[in-house]
Amino acid sequence: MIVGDGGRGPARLLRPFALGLGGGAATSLDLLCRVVAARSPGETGACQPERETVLRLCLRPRSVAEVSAVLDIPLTAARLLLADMIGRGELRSCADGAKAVEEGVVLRAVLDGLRAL
Amino acid sequence: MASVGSEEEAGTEVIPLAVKILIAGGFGAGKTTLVGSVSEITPLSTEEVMTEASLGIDDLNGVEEKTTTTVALDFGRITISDGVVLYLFGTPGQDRFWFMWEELAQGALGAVVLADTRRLETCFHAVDFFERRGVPFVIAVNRFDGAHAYTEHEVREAIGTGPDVPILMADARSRESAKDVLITLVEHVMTHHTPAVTG
Repeated sequence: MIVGDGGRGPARLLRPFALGLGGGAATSLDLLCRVVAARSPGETGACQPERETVLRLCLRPRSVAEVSAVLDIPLTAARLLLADMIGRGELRSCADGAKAVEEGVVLRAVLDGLRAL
Repeated sequence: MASVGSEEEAGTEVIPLAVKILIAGGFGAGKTTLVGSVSEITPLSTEEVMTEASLGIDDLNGVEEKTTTTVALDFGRITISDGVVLYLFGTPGQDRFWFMWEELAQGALGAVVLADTRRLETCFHAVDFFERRGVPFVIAVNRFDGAHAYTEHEVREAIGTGPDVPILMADARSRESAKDVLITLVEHVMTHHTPAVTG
């Protein structure tokens, strides 16, 4: 068991939000998964300001990596927070988008886009 | 019903498809410089925080004094079209962050290995990794001022890659050169790899 340890156990390093959210879905949230706000910021009162900040940032689609970088929170924490917000319907994700498009079509689009830069 | 209507309205916005290309190479090979040269945003940096225990170091001593390590991940973005956004991820330079590479390589279109001819051996790991994982890649020799200008043949011999891997000279600071590198990579992927390489 984890408890006990004669009172000399390591300090608990988990952050409060990690304790509060549980992480089932978060492990599958890809770095590039794009999320977009599914409700307006501030609609349900701002008792959790970081969620409102995420919603404001995600008025346009953002990747998990971008949210993590812009809000300056570690990736692991961003994944947990965003997965939770997706679960609550506050964000929409494009988790399955990548499989719907044929790779050849994507490559062609990327090539054309790069040439046009 | 009104809420359903607004939901549908929000749902009509198409979330662009996100694809990624990895920029690998040894520490200081110019990865972030190259990303910055073509990215439409100033490269962003995200961090993964972990304890030394998750770095695969099996040390039973001193568990009570676990130290944390931060892996920085730099990336840039290029909007290709309304439907596609390309991300360029610089892979962490130090070997002990290999576990991050596994995730980064998932679904990547391909990779650029930046070689620094002053320390060519620092890119060997990246070449091995992409070869093993079947991730298509090109080698871009980043021309550093004052470094000896090796020929493509010399570089290929030294790295030991087959003739099918494109090798090109590049200047990571130049937007045009960085563009060329990426275009070469995508062309390489299109000609040498059938669909469904990713995943």
